[in-house]
Amino acid sequence: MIALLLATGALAGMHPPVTLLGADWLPVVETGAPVSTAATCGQCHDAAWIAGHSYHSAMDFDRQVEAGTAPSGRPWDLGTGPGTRWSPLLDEVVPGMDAATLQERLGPYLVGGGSISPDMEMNCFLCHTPSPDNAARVEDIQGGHPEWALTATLQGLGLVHHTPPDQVGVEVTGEGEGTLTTGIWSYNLDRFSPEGAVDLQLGQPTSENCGVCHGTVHSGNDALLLDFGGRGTRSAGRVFSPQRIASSSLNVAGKEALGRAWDVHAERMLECTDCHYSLNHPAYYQESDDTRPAYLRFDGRKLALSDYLYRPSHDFAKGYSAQGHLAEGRDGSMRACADCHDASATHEWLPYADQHFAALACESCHIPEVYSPALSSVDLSLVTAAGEPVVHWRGVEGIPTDPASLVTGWRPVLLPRVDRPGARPKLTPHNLITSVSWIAGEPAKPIDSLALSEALLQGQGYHPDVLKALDADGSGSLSEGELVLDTEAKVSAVQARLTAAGFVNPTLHTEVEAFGIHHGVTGSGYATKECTTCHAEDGRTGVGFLLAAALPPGMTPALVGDSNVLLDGEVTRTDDGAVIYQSNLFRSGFYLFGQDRLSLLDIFGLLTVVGSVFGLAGHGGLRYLGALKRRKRS
Amino acid sequence: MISSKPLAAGTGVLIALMGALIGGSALGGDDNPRAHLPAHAPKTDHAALIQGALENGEDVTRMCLECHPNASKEMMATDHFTWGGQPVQVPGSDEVVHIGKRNALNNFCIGVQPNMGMCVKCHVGQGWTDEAHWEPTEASVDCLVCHADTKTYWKTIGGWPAADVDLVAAAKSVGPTNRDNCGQCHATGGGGDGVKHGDLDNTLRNPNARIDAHMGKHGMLCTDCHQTAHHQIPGMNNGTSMAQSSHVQCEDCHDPRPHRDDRLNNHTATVACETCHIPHMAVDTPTKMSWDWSTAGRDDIPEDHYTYMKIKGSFVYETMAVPQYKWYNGTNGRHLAGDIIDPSGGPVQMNPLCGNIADPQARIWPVKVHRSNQPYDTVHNYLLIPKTWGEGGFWTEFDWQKALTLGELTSGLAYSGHYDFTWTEMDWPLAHMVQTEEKALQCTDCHAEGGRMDWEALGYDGDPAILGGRLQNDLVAHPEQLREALEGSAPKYKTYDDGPVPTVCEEVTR
Repeated sequence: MIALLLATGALAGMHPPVTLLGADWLPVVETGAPVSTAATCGQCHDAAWIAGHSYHSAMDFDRQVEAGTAPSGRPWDLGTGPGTRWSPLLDEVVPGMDAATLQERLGPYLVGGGSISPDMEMNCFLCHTPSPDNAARVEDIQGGHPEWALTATLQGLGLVHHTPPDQVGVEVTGEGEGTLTTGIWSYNLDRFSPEGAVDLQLGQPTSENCGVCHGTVHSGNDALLLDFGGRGTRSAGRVFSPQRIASSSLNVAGKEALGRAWDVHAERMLECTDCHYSLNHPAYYQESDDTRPAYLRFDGRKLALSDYLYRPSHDFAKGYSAQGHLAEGRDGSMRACADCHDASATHEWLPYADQHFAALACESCHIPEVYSPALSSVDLSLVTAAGEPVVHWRGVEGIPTDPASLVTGWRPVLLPRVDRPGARPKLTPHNLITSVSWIAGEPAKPIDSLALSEALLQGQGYHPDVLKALDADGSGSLSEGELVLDTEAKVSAVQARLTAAGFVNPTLHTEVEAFGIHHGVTGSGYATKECTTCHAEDGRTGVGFLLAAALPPGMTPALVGDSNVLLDGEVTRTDDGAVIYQSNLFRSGFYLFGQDRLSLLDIFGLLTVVGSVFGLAGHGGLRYLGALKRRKRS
Repeated sequence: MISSKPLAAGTGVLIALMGALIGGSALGGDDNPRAHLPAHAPKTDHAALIQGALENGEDVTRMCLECHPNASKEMMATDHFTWGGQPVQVPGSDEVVHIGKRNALNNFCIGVQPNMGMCVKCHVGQGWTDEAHWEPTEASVDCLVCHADTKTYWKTIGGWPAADVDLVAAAKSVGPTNRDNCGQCHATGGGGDGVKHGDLDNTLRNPNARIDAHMGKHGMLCTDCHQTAHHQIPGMNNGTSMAQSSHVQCEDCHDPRPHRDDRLNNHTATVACETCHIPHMAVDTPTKMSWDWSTAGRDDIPEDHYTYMKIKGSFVYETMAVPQYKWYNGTNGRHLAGDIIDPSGGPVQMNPLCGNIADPQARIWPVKVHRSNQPYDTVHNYLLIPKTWGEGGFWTEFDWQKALTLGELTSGLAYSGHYDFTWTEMDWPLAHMVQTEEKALQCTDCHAEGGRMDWEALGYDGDPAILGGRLQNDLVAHPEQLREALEGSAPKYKTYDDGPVPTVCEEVTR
């Protein structure tokens, strides 16, 4: 029963009260010191082991490589994690920056406990308490108080409050208990037992916990607000919610007809950890077919619950990432669709089901549309007046964070994906995000938006050199339409400005990254079932996919080298300058009835028809002649 | 040379076979609810058939009987006319009683006996003003209330046609019963639109799909489900009746396991269809959830239709209200007039639904629970029936002593002269305002943290999605009984064909 409760997360609330300890292993309510999870959680769990092995903690910072040898192929990348592999979605984090800057800029995504954040202990509360205060945590990390970030998280439970500034650092003498030095956070003593213990409501991480960093997670019937701070929502339109889109408060076009939930797995009460489980979780872990002896269906030798609770693996099952090799040692550890679903039991209606299953990921049909906006391009060739990259979104008319904007939704592009070397590619839905950025220096590195702002902005507006080149209407500011380097002259002007600002040999670089779409799954009712959705000239893979509304002249984005997808199609420009990706699946080994055409097959078909006609005519003619002969004889 | 006739015949047979195959596959499957709908008889234009003057309602009925000679006899045998109900044996009592609108206590206007003239505005007869002394004839049946165009006909005190009704025009308008005919009484029970039933109000007279899938999306009529034979209209009103004699069920038309997903189908032995498909009651029009008579008669509370009326007291209305969920096996208990109450023992249960987690015939149903604070005799400890309408009634005198004393004359309940108020509750299982799958409940509505089910109150140890449902657990204890219930999926309530059956509701005490 306990295993069942563990598996379902029903154990939440069963965790006994905890005495919060500081790094000196003394109760913080007595010392006023910041909470230490190494001490607090380490009372029962192997906290050092947990922090030491988790890729959430280290973010692959401990797997750095020589510049120029990273899987991405970019000369400036030093690895595969967020601190060592540059991403235009997190452009301010440039590989090779000093630890303090890295901690400040990557702060919102740092869980602590790893080499990437040496000043921070692993923040167990962020993932294991029901209402962590992430904003307070991030404020402390970025505000120079990383040692208090753990404690700040507890504000969500009402256990701490900000100490008034004039009382910070004051020594308070207790009643014969020694002295307590007040920090920037004070403990709400009325919430603690006389012994200093408190109920943290600890439990298995909920989907909401994961959503703090990974994208929009929503439960219940209250209004759903999209969280574009989460990378998953920004890059792939990820929304994990049981709410029906028709019931959503979002302004989704035609939503009255969208009786489906945002995600059928959320609707069926699955949590993130049901698929992305701890890799030594005794109720979930099952050795893969690749390594399990062929004669053994199930291996009952599992960790004892007590052993698991002492050392629960904080490496979580994951699939294959379309962008990069983060935690690649755990690639494919996640349970795939077929591990839980028997597609053959529900797809009797599908002609050539085996061929479809072999060529298509389940998501291709079961994520036919994405109803949250997602980025289509990040343009770091310029910055907005606010100093931010110029971004364009797909699936929305207007600003995605504006509730009045009409969310039109968008159809993901189906790209061949090869998860393992030698494996047959499968068509899988993706978003493609195109980026343009300046590369400068020796060795060359991307110019992040903060540095770019310093060079291109001046005072409350743009530098005069930039305005002179780009301000076509002479308004003194740059409108959205003017924020694009669409001529050589504009490129040169900005290039000159950057050079003047001290950047060495600034050159433009463009690339495209693929982001796999695996959430927002719908059930059979809304999945693609109509054959001509794909098997037609204008089927899903027959129409172009917008990469960018505009790119500097002569530039064609190339796929970043560490992706597992194939971009075998053509990148073209429309008359108005938009850059389109046009699939060519035939090159990837796919032949799509209704869309692809093999001239050899056409000739064979024609010959078959002609041959049949001639054969029939000849046979009939011979029989007719034979009949005439027989009549003459008779 | 081959003869063309056998070829043609053979081709015809082949085409016929193919047609049969295609047709057969198109009509295949068990769940074909439309096949259960009655064919609607075309409306007969009565304009030319109604001749001469019609002085009163009884004249109309007599004219109807000239062509429909059995109609009144049939009608007079129905609960709609007798307001008496089928004979039942009430748990805790030796008597077999007829419980119906005429003698049942309720949570709204409390009782009809002292107020007959007003209440029979919604009776399918005419001339009934004295509860105990009425000897109806065949002409007393009011055909028009169920068959006339409601724009031409309306009733007044005593159930008589209103004075300004053109009886000839009303008689000429008659036709099969439609939603307006049913709705004029059933949508306004309890004294106003949507007051009594959480799932019946005037929006159902011309609904859209948002209000009700059957009537709004598919244009169905009340009589498509309440299929009527010889004026017997099946349907179970827990407010006045106890006998499980005439339930209308979803399974009358729908397959008991109608979902594509077996996990949903595995709910149907335990969860009524209505539970998921009626996620809210009072979709548009508010329904009265609570009625406090104790504040009636005061002048210091501002009057507002939805919060306070001097003649009735204080109210709480709700719209899009989430139902409560209770086990229900198709039967219910009944608090009878004169039953002793314990005013300190919590609300008096007027018609508690029967069934519990161990009852294989019971399923979880959505229920409107209406609460009322109504007068009782502090000496005799039973609920009292006040005279509210008419001379000396509370609505004119605002004098409880007088209203209760006058009530004694017709109710037969001795009044000691001492009264107070006590809370009562009535259960109204919901069956209308059905929503399609796109708006039905989702897993998380019940099984997620903060879901709408109170599992402990329903008898579970916790969420059965985690801990296992009653059938999994109880199959060990009662394998045959529960397996039968699971395989049959839906409890099979008895119908009229089974004859009147005393109800069984063992756990209910009076």
